[in-house]
Amino acid sequence: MLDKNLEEEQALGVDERLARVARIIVEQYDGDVKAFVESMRYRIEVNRKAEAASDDGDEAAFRKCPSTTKIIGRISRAHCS
Amino acid sequence: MSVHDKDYRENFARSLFLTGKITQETAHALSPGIKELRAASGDPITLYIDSPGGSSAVAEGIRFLIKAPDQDGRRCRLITVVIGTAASAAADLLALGDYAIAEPQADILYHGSRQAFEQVLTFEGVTSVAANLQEANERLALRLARSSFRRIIWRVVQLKDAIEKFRDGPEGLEELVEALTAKFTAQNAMLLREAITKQKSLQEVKTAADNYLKRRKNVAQWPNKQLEPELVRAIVDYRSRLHKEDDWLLSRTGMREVASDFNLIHDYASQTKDLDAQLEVYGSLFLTQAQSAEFKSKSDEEHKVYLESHAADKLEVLWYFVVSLCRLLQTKDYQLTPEEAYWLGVVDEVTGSDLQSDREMIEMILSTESATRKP
Repeated sequence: MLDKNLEEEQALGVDERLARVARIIVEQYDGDVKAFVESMRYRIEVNRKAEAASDDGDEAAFRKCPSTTKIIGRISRAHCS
Repeated sequence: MSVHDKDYRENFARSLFLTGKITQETAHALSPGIKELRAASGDPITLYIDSPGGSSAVAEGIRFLIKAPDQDGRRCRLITVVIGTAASAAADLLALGDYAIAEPQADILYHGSRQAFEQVLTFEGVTSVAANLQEANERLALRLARSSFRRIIWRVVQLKDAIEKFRDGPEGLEELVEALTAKFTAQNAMLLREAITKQKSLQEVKTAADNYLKRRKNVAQWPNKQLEPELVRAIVDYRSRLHKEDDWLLSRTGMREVASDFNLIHDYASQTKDLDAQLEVYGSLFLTQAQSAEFKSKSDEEHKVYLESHAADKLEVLWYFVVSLCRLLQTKDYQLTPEEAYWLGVVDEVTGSDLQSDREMIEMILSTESATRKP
């Protein structure tokens, strides 16, 4: 048995997030969905690469630091001598 | 960092499996799990489907149990995922998910309502069963059309050259559908071509009925009791003219045709509110470049009126096409690949494919916004 409320809810429900996507496509991409998707995919890839490069930079800086063992060793030697 | 939107993602932690034939026992087995998930939170519930179909009423009951409001009026979103087969009632259930996903190995099968009998039937019994099955098909087709319409909009706007023609005017629909058929096997492409023929005939009968009623005074003020018989007269008038060379009689197939036309026009009137909402959201995707520039220069209050005069006719013919398509899906057997189901608006996403999905578009915006906000 069909539920009338559910039917109405399904019929009238408009997804606000999709409405926003449609607005962006019309306003910024002249209604060209493909151009929107390609541009977004490109931007995300650029951000991802930038993030990866920044993570690599952090790791390189970390590698330059003396290891904890060496520091502890130096401290203990200084302390014992 | 990529941002996920839980409303468009399957979630195994809040999921249920619908497997095997859909019977009352299926509903009994799933109900406690549904209740538990609903009580735990209002987050979406994922329903994994691998079923040859079964009772439409039970499938509908399961959907209702998941989506019905709780005591605080809170509703859970339903994410459907076909992991094996979704046939018949299971295919309908898949498509009626708020977000429907197909895995690449899935099979989706459609056919009309069926009823098995153990006892001997009388003529009256057969007639009543036939009428019930026809009504069930019509009802299912309309529901399917409602959930597929938004998806089809997102599919056709991807068909680059054909969509440009369609933006010029509703007569570009045929070319748009022809471009869509390229995504289908030869057999399923026939479904689309048949749907366009049906759409044209539905459009014609609606125009004829509109013209017939325009000749009457103050029709807009008429109560339904007065309007409905007049609408039947308008349809009979149109069908008689259409078949004037044929041996066409109401007592043969005529009455069925008239009833079918009447139901469609009647349903269309009840869908107007729905179409208005879709027009407001998606109408601007159907404007030509020149119209789009003009549209952007207008205020928010003027947008609605502008879309009514420049995009409503295109959405209307597209709606009739989708209804025709869904009606046909309920009449014969159609086996769809996940990609075909995507292009037909049955599912939103095919996992592992590069077909553009609602989820991807929404998450792309969220991800770029999140990256911009980062210090």
